[in-house]
Amino acid sequence: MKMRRFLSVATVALTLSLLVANGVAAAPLPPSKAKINWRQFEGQSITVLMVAHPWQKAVEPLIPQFEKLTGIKVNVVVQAEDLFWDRSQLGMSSPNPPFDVTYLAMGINGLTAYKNGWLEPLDEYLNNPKLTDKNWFEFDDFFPADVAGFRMPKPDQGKVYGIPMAGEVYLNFYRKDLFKQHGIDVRKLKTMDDWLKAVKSLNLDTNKDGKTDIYGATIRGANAGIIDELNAMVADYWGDAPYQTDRFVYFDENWRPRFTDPRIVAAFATWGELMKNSAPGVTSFDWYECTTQFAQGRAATYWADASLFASIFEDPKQSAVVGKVGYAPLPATKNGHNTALFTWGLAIPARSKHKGPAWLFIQWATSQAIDLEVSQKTFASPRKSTWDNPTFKKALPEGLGEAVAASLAVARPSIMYVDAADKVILRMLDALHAIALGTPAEKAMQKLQDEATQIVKEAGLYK
Amino acid sequence: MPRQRAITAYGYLLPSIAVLGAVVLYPVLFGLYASFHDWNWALGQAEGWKWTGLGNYLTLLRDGYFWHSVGVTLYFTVVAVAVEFILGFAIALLLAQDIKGAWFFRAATVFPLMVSDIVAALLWGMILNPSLGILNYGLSVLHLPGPDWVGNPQLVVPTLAAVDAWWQTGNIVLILLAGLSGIPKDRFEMASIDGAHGWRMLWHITIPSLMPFILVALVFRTIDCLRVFALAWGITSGGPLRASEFSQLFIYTQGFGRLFNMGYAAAASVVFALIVGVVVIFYVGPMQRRLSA
Repeated sequence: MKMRRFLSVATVALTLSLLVANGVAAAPLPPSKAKINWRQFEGQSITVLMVAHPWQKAVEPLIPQFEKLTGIKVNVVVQAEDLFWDRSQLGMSSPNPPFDVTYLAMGINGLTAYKNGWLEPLDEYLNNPKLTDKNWFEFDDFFPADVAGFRMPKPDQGKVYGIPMAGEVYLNFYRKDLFKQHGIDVRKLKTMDDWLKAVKSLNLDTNKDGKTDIYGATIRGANAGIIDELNAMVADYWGDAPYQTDRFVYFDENWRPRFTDPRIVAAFATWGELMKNSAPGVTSFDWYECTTQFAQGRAATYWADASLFASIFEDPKQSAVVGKVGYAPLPATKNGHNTALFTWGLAIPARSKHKGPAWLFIQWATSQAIDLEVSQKTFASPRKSTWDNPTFKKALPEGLGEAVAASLAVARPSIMYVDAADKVILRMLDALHAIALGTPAEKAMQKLQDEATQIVKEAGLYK
Repeated sequence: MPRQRAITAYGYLLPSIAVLGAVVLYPVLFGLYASFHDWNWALGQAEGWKWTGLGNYLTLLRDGYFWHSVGVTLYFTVVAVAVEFILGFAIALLLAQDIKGAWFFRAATVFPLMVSDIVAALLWGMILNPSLGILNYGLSVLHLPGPDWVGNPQLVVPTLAAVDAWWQTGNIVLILLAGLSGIPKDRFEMASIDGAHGWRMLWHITIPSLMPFILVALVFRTIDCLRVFALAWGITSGGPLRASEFSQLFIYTQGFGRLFNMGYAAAASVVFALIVGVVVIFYVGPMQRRLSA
């Protein structure tokens, strides 16, 4: 009896201590606990340029907390993503930038700003004890692949020019209910070919009028913004073979393009095949059209796109498929299993007149505590501590955490630090359109190879 | 005191000259200057201009994608202006009659003009969406096939021309209506006494009297169609396979839109402006002859 009582007391004690321990892990220290003087720039005001985006929607309501903590006034300017690209570059190029903090995209957007000297290096802010409480901020808590996109000019060793705040890894979305109805067991879909077979069998005519109402797939096909998603597919086909991190897999060490490499041809061919199994008009689908197709229940799968779109599909105000969505990493190819990731960060224009308060804002907005709160709405945290946090795990839709974790484990930053990279990307889009419209993949890719060779030759990279 | 008067006149003109200089002349000269430089922001040259002489122009001459965009633009312009003119002329003739409720039809024709180009583009982007849009839904209710309006390279330009016609035909209607109201009624009465009516009246009286108005309407619409941008930017992004990549979209992509190769975009703008100029001269010649006659 005594023994039993001891055991039960011990069990309760152990449970309590675990709860306490979990409780500590569950609640990162709030900004007020950071050992810096948050009020050192009191009375100043800053302007923050944001993209209309889930992170912006989640963080904006919290900004009054920052203003109260620091006495700094924050003006937020929000731009639609289409309009953001030139506004951010033009703003940074100005002698008086109209903003002090800006969204910065991993890749070419960041590199262009870096090359013109428009970005403030942030290492000195991170290492200045007056401005940053390093122990509290825990910069090492960010996934290295997310930070890599803001290190320039080399993704693995350059200075840091942006702090990540919304990471997206590319994975597949599928309709659990449709798969079940048609007897497709996702656990048995092991390879890309298995998935493609499933996609083709899910072009459905539900009302028997002779026309397809639900398409097997939806996938981007519209403009050069496709590159990060396409890179996920290419990474998957590229497998585990090494490559130069600054130019993705598309160029070898001597800058010779690799668009006729069978792995890259296969990736483009698969993308084209998925476009053929999408709703008509796919060549004008950007993320908005794709998420609409999927959220309206018009597509059985949505391929290789941003994990953060789960926040749209699970929102009853925006989605007719709440609770019906499954999440899966990209299927393995015969070369291995990979994907790509892309990250938005926050940066300071080098010519800003309010760099101190701008840094305090970035530090606050990307801190563990704020990230935990924001990420419960975006599902897009770039911090490991958030993904390990029980509160966050509970907020995730069923299956998303596992799919993201499996994808993050193999994800490669979608970075192409290539002079004239954008020119190459536009030709890549041409190749995809040609394949989707019926040109054999080998032929379209040979044309792309020739054009890319010309472009890198003109840029003086490939002799 | 003619000299005094001239000074006063220039004094009055000065504000307009200053404003026009700032918003027209300066950008034009700046663009011209930029077009002779390597000024590629993507290469970090935002503040480091490099003189390249005719370099950008020589590259442009060899750039098949630029000339493709010029071809697409001309094709769009011919189709759109033809459709808008035929429709606009027919509607103007109908509205010039004193039919009941003409005010309603006038307002209905002019209404789309109040919509900005980008709004028209986004609106039609949704309507034309083959699987979610209302147009193909309407066709399916009538058991008619719904084509892939903007995803088919053969169909995309005529489709965009049709959208432009919805949006801009009212312009032609307004101009021609003004012309029609200015034709003296007695001409028609005299012709009808002579036994003319219908097509003959149209051919021999209406069209000749309207000619200056027709030319003005055609010049306006042609220039407008040549600089088409938002329809492609908002609906197709230039696709599929560049089938709707109009010159303005090409220039935008070279510059602010994507590549930030500002010098090259400036050179493309200059060349395209010259092409527009040549097209306009084709109209202005006959117009002047007609006016002086």
